Amino acid sequence: MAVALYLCCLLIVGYGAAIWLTPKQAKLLRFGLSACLGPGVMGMILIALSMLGFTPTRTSIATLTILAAISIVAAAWRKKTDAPPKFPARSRLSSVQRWWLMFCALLIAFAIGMTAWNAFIFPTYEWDAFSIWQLKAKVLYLQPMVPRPAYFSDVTLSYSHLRYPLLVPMISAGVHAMTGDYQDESGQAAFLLMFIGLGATVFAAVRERRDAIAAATTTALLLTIPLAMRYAAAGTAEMALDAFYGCSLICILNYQRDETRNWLILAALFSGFMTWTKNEGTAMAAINLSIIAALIPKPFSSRKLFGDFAFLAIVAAMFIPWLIWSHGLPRTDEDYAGHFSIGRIVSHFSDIPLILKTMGLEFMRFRDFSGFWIVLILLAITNPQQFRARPVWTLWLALLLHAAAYVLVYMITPLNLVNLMQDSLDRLVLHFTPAAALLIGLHWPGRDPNSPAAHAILSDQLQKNQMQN
Amino acid sequence: MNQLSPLAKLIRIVAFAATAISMSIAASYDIRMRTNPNLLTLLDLYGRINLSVIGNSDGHSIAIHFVNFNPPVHGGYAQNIYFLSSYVLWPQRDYVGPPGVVINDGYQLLDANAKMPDEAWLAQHDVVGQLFMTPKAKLGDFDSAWLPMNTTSAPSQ
Repeated sequence: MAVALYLCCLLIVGYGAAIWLTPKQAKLLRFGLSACLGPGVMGMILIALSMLGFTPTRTSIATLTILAAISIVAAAWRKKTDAPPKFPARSRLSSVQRWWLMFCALLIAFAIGMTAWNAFIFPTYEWDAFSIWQLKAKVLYLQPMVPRPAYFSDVTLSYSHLRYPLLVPMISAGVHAMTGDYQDESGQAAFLLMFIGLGATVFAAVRERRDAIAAATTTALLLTIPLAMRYAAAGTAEMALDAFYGCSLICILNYQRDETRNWLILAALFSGFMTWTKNEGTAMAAINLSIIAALIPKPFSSRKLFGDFAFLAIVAAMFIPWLIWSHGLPRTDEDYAGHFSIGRIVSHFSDIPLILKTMGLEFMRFRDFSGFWIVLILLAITNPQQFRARPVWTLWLALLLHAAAYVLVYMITPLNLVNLMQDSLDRLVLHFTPAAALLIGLHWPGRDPNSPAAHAILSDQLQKNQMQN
Repeated sequence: MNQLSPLAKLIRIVAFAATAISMSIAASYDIRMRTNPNLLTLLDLYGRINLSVIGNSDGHSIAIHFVNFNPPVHGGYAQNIYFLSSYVLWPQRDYVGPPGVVINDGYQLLDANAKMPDEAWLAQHDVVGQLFMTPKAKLGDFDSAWLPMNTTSAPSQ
């Protein structure tokens, strides 16, 4: 009961922020973003309080929820009409299409059901979950971050990666605060909400650009990835990183389309959360920044420069406290920063074929990803005209930069490369899936309703209808 | 659908088929994973480790001795026991070696375990007893014996 209440609190906190930043008509998108924004906002505020010397408590969670509820009421009072979202026109579905939608809906329900099973019934059994993330959740529940607990400098616990960012543990510590019991093995439950939120956000984002078939198929494909179902509510950081990354990409695409600053603020918030989720998140936030700087909205304008600066400022404001707080923590587990040098990269060029080959094999591993990547490759090859669309090549660029970043990390690793790839590659490839899922949706055959050609057809139809009336 | 060219229709059919196969396989993998005997054995093993550790600690710290653990064979297994018991016991501790020794993997763990601090140090750190774990022939299974502090008798099975 307390866990369900916490999930409601997270959703309300997310909605309290999303209501000011998203268009009113995009209800599903707003819900999805709220479900991912809520844990991020709650976790960051609990971290701020922890840095001030307060552990997470029911009172602090309830206060935040009440403030968010007031924000929702205040937003409902404002008399502002938003521009309607550019949904594609609805067309009559054939019986085959209706059956297909039902099939997708069943699979989505199955994926959510299995994840809920993990969240509420299974104990914490994933190695990473109990060794790293949920152990830290107990630490943060019991002690504030300032003064820094002895845990963070105890090298007999070096295996738990003492320098790993703390947003995911703090979200789980919030569950313990609500239940009042840190031994209840329920810290993983919060991530079920993000799994559902990511699905809703991807569905809404694809639906704004394609038909319901494409949106439902994309969502079902993403949520039924075997690894996604395994890790979604296992108590690790994979789901949180995937959800934040997926949402940040969607906000970037919407900023590219609408040029509305609210999308940029949201993209920056999600990128800031990513830096507090995993070390990979910092690289992904940097990729987001480089995409915004290079592509969006238009080159060489003062508006663009302001956008770039605003994004950078928000992410930096969120990330710098972590850098300050974590300064001086032991680097006894892995020290990528210490190994990052041009010389090391050059001397490990010979590793690139092995890394790419292993990565390619992981993409094709049915046990981990089923046919997810095969569907994307098939659609990209057979539907190449979609590459002309800006969102499509923006996402491909993000995907390629992301893959390049991971290749670089493997090149400089101080650990045994083969063992490290064996242990970590499946989860790293999982981080690519939100971008890939959006690409599946956008490569789906059919017209882009936002393309000039589609607009011309729609306006023709509109004129005909007006003449008939 | 009617506005699509024959090629686009064909692409869509192929994409549908690939997607249906992919999602069905994904669902079956998930069901198989959850009913996999290895996972159930692992959960059972973790349950037994939890019981051994929590049952004996009674809200205090403990020390764990890995007896006859061969690093190349049992290193990963020993590290799982240590990592899991650290998690279930926290904020109490499961001491496996002297303070200040870096432990990232099974090799480092078993190396540290050979240099366990003396009983006086353990007693100063709220340790109420020592758990002696011995691997069985079947990999992943273990015997355990509990020796409360300040006793001279042999460990109880």
